[in-house]
Amino acid sequence: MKVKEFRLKDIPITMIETDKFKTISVFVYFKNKLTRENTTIRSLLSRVLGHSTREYNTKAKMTEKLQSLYDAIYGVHNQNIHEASFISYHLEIVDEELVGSHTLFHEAMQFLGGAIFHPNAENNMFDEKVVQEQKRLLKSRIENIYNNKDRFAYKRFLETMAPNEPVGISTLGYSDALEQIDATSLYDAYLDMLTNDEVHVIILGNISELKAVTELSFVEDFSNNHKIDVNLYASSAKQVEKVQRVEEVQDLNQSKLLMGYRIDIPVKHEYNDAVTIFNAMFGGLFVSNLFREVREKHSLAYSVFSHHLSEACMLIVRAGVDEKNVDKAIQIITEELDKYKNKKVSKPLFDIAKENVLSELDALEDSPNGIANFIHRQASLNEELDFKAYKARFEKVKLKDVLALVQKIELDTIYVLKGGSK
Amino acid sequence: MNITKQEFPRFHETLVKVELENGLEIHIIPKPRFHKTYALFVTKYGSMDNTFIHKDLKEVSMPYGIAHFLEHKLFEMEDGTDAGSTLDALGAQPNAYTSYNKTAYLFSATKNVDQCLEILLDFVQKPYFTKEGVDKEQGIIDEELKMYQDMPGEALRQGLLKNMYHANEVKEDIGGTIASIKEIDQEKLYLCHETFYHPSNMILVVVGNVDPEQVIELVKANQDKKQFAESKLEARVRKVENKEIVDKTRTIQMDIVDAKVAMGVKLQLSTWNPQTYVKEELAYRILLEELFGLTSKHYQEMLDLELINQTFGYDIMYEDFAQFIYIHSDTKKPKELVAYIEEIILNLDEFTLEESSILRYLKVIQGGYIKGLNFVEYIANTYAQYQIHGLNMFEVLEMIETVTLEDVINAKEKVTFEGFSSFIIESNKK
Repeated sequence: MKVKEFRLKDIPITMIETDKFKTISVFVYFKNKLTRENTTIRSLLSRVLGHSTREYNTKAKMTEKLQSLYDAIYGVHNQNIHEASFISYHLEIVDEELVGSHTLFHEAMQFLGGAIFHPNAENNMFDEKVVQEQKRLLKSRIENIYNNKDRFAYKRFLETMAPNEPVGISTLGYSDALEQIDATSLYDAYLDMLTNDEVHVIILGNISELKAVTELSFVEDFSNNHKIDVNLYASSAKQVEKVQRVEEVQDLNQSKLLMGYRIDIPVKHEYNDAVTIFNAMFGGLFVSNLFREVREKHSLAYSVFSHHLSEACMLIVRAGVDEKNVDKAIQIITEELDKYKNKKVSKPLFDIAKENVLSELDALEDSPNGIANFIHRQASLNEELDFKAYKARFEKVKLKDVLALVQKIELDTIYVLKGGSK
Repeated sequence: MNITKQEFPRFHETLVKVELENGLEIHIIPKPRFHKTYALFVTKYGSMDNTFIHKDLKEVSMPYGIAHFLEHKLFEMEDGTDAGSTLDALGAQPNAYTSYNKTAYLFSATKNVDQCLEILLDFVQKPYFTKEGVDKEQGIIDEELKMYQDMPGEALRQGLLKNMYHANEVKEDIGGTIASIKEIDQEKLYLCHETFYHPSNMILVVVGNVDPEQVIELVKANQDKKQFAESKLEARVRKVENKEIVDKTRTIQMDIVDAKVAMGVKLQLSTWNPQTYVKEELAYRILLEELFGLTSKHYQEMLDLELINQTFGYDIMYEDFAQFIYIHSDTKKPKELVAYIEEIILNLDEFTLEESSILRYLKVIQGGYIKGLNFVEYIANTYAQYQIHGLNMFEVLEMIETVTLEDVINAKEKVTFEGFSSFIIESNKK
């Protein structure tokens, strides 16, 4: 696998040449500053851009085109990382050699260029019918989060713990802001993205640099690339003044428990990689403390795990437990973390966790999306693009780093979506 | 021992397979460029197999959910350790799942693959059940079932199946019920293990960075050390199902925002033949694409009438134990949506199919296959799914490429209005 970086006109291109996969993937990322005000319009924009193009101006026509390209995957997605909002076009097609074609890649890139520069719009406004339809569908997605109790509890938890932090801004957007958007204001947001966002292109698969450069010629239609200076991670954890406990009640069979911790290790801190290993030890594996104690020993939960939101300096524990067992679960989780703080930690568990993290990093290289996500994240943070060098950082982590970092973990919020003990 | 090696130049893939003396089949697809190896140890035993003929005991009926319970319990080892943790400790990611007709134990690993394979074979083939272990597991599975009960999508599917089927056990939750799992004890678990985990009822699929000969040698040595009595499984007993559906429609209430609707059509088939089923299944998939797919006029019309949102979807179950079409969506207009789909099914005779769409859809199938070959997980699971019916995944594509307009027309004729049923979950909010 060779990683090459170059520019076409002013646009940075990262190319991963590999014949490991049977598809070729292209990602075009647009980055801008995330605000509570623009999250909804960028969410809707990604949906309208993914719906149709000027040439293929209905869902049916566009789907027929993509199906004729051997079911090409096409999508436009929005993703928030701390104070940055990314809109990304993704097109993936099968390697043309495997279906005996010489034109598949060319046709696919013509399609992608058209999708980016000629969306389904006229006279400075998007197709009115498409905008209304996508507004209705997005509104229904936002409202129906309520039906998925895990997602609903997580959303309420974030709103409780981090109401004024970037992590608390919804990627889907907000119903009231959605009402205000029309086909013209949405087109303005599109023009703004096209002219003011920072662009980065990733191309991955069995393709020569020459062919890639020729077929990506649409990139030359971008005006000069802008550098968007935003923070991709919090520089420190928010201080905990008082632990808050919030309980809400719904007609549920099982309660959802979330415990949010502040962890004062920013992304570029020397202990950040060690947090990944600590998280695996604490609540990321079958052998982890939480799984062993909460599920296997005390039989309190089917699902219990922790995850690390590095860019927000947060660690979150999630469990589904019976209402009558909520306090017992909180007590056990707290005791398990205290053991770390009191340096009662198992070296074999540390070795296992490290081995697992390294193995997961290897596995990233086995999926086109895994590689692209890694490259995109690393490039955004101005960090190492080489997998080996990245892995080497984790190999250097020591148990004493874990013992040091746990002292920087502090409980901030307990959120319980309560059900009955049915 | 007769090792066969097959090349599939069209996909640049190789398959190595062998059947051991004890009946265990090993299928290996090497992927030398990958870090990962994914191993899947599968028994042809799922939630549909609750009633069976045992050679010594004659007909035996087990509590619902026992196959899934057994899946959980096999991880517990006699020395007090847990196989999941042991695999974790080697840097592997273990998992398991139970479906209607199979139970699969698996791991994904980038190193220590030999050791992981030994552990996988051993924990699945060496059952160890105690009363304490069974009691504790009931607590964990209780929570798992409660989690599913709070998922309206699960309630929707179960509700529809209960509308459609009188006796067929496909209508029962794979995990059983909170009451049925209380009837499970260690004797029942041992009996099911003895019956369905015989090597002759199992296959091992390994996809990834391995040397096939070395894997075969390792598995053979492992199996040679173990004694297996002759297989006790005489037959699976499937309940006789009425042609008719149970309820035309039923509505319940849950704490949700938009209503959820599921509609099904029970298909009436005279025979089910593994050699032709992939082609027949594809014919139904093409029919569904033409009726409700993103390129269909009905899909856009349902959006325009605000009958559906992005959750709209459809699927087909086409197995030896059950065949039905399943259509579902969240909606603000549940009754109107059911009426709209009913109308289409009622007037299916008038619906015409285009040859050109069938050709385009064959490209979709080809593309889907090739895209899937990027992932060792996809290859192993798809391979096992077909292998259960004695079919080879790489040959299946050639079988389905022969599908014609006539096949789709034949499929259409088996969709009858009499088999149509709906299930609605309304919001309990005023």
